[in-house]
Amino acid sequence: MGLILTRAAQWTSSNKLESTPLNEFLVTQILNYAEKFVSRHPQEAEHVFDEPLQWNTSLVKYDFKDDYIISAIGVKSLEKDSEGKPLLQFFPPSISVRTFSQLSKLLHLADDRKRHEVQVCLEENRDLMVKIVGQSLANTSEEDISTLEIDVRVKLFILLRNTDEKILNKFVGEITKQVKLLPTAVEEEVDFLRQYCTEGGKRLLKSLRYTSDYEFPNGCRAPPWRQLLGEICYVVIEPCDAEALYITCSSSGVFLNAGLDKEEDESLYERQSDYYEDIATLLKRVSPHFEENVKKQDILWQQKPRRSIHLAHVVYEIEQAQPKTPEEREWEKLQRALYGRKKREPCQRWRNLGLAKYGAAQFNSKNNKPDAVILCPLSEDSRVVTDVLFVFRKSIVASFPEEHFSGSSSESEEEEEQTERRPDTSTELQSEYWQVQKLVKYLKAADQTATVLVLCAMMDLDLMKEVIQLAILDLGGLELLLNLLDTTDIRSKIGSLKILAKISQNVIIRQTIVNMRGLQRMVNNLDIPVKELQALASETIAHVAKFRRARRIVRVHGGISKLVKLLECFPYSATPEEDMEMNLEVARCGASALWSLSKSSKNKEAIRKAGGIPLLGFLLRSPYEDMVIPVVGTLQECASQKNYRVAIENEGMVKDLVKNLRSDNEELQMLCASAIFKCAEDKLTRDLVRSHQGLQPLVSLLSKAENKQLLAAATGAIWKCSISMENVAIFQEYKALQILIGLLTEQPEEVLVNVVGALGQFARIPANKSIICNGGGIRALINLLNGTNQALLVNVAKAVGACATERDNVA
Amino acid sequence: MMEMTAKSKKVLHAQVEALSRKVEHFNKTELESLILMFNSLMAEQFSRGRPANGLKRGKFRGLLQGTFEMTNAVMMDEVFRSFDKDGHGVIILEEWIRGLAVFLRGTLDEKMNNTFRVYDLNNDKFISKDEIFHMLKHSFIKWPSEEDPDEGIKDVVEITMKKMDLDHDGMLSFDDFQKSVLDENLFLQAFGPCLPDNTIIAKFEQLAFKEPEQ
Repeated sequence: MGLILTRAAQWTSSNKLESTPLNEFLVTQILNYAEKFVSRHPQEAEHVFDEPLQWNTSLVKYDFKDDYIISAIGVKSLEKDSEGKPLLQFFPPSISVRTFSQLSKLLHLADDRKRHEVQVCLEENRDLMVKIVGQSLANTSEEDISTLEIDVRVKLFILLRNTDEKILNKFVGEITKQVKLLPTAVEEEVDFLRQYCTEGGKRLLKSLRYTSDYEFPNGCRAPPWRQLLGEICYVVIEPCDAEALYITCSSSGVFLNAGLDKEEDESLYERQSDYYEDIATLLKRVSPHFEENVKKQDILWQQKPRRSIHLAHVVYEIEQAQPKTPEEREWEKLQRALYGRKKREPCQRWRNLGLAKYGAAQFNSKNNKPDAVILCPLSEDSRVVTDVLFVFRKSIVASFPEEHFSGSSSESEEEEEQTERRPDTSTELQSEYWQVQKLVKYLKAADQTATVLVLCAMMDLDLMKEVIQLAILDLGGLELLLNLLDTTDIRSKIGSLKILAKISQNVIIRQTIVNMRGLQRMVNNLDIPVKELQALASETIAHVAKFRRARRIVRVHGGISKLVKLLECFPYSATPEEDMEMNLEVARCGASALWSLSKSSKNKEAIRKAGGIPLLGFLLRSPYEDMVIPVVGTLQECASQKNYRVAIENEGMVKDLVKNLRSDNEELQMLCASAIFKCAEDKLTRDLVRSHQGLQPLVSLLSKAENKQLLAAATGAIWKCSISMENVAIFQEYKALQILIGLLTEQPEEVLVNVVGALGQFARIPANKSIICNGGGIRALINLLNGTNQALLVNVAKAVGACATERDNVA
Repeated sequence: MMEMTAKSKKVLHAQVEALSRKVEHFNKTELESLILMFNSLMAEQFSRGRPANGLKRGKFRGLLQGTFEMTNAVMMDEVFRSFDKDGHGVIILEEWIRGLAVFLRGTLDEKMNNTFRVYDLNNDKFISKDEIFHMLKHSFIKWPSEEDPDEGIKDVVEITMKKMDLDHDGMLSFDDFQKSVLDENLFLQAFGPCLPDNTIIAKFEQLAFKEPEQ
């Protein structure tokens, strides 16, 4: 049953099974199987589970009849295992069952509630297989099964595995039966219905509109992360006789949502009604006026193509980038880390998909449905892949990048929730794990004083080691650490944050912190007037806020204005030196947090509104490199917005950016160049860069050919600065053109785009055209035309175009 | 505040003068407020029996609990001992002022000295494992009932000793303690809260130093 639960079933965020037709189908299948198990496999049904299945039942004491001992506190079965423990125990409302025969008896007793019982049992025992046959056997791979000695337990395991596959096959068949709406079909229907929004006798509806005017190339209007759930678009319809209806059109049908309009609150996406096959069917159900008039006017609804393959490519891409869901990865990592054992081969998943595909093909050929014939083999494959992958949506949604179209450098740096899987092969894993376990146990028990001592002991572990990080997570330590942030004891908070600041460099820990409302708790600590605490909380936020959802949470909970306040590190001129150092540290950490946060455009705006720009400008002037890096980082991130660019010009920050181009730190140089790159779209900035002698250092950065990020930023800045002719002249004094031509080969595309862009600007001067051509530039440029990068092609075309105006060069 | 006679004013003035030469961290107005506070605490104590020559343990504990929000009984006794430098069982005015100077305005060095004295229960200039165990023995609140909490506490003591006992002689000298604190300032109050935190200091100072202005 393991596969069904992890792969096929659709789970809500609170670990419940969603009430979808597919889940209902699964539960029914499992119920049937469990009921018939005893008669089919009497011997295996008596096998005692490795661990009892436990859940909160809806049954009460009086439901139990013979074969049970009913006492004041609960119920026990008469049947006992070899050690004399009862096989079923019931202390309301928790029930624990240890054999299949008891399970089927119980289902019999539950009668009409048996579906519910099965469902709750599945929800609360997601590691079903492990509980039934034990950890070691449940993880045995297919090949290894044949090597096992066949006893009852192994037989049971094989039986369950086979059933798992059987049900999964049926499930795929079931999916293919589901109605699939195509975006085109929805659009046609909306257009069709629009004709009937007119005044007069033909009127069916008052109004009808999409919530978004933007249509993606695939025909959907839903935001990308909702598209992954199969949602196509949202419409708002005002019927003549009812209040406005907010409707979601998704590939699995049409339903009412919770009032989704311009606002995009996640909760508004929730389904409020059943699925209908199209908008008209839904309208007929809710608006009698509509139904009546449709009948009267005898409107014919055309039959539309309903199959959808639009998801296939989206999901396929995601799948490529992210081979496993976070939960799976987390689990696998932990398994490997803790037991040094490979849990599942990477191709297992695809093997299963292969199997699923097979099932689907079989189904289609048997029924020979017309729609199955229409689909070409390729799309057939990808569609099945889509459907099966559809069930992974929860985890994928969480990790879909924000501001897909924002055009800032942010997305490229977006390290979304992906990780490399590094094999850990240390032999001391076991002892480290037990060490963590012991400390977590102490932490649970300890008062304030002991808590701090235990935290100090924890700091002595190698917290940058993934095994330790995951052990802290797995053993419940993370939760304890976060809970300490809610206490009033400053020292415990500081200790906890010292650990969190380190382990939050792990992606899985970050996500879990966010899920455990950790960010809210850190934000709450930002205004407690203890410098060390503020610094540590900011530093941890800087680590955690590496993905969209996290950044949003910090903003929504007022974290940004608190962080901006921390930048004011010179509140009193007369602070003693000791305090000053701490103040600077607080400001530095605050700026680091803002840097992470500034990758979301709403956050950029929030930083500005909180008065962050002048403070950043002030800190930019500080002599400390550690401080300047996050400040410039934030500024260059925010420079994608017009009002930041204006502020950077007006507050005299260009001068400081230029000054820091001369620093020895390549990261700082890169960030400054990148800020200039973004700002130099505006003429004033270009002039300021020149007047502060910034052009020469930009050219000298071109020699750092080994640091590609730096090179990309520097060439970008040169490109944009060379829009001004005066700047081109100065660049030429430093032989920029020759160096740029030299950079036309063997560079990554990010660099090439900028180099070629700059050449295009330089080529406006006739003399330069021949320099480019004579220097072998044209050949290199023409070669670049073979690429596929659009931005690059545009720039190449421009540059070649500019050169081609010189007659000699055409030949 | 009660009316002051010219004579008591003169005494107060002399006390302030004398103390300002001995104790750093406080200016004269602040000293005056703290002396007045001491006097009123003494007066409250006076009414309950024969006069004492300083603040008694019970009264002082009341102050620690009420004003400085300390709850740990072992620690409160030890803090009393650290204030009572001459070991006469009462806190006289000078001890009161000196103690508060560390409490409220102490530098890290002064605080380290102070807490080390607090934790060195038998005053032998070393903190032994037994002393640490004594201070921590009630530190596990939610320990599984079937297990012996002492085992866990002993382990915590061992772990901490391993980290702080830098010269590996099995006990903490002031040198060990000082180095450990400089390395990780959370160790300053390693074995129990014996210094007020910033917010409490701010509250106390507001309360103590505002009165004379009225």
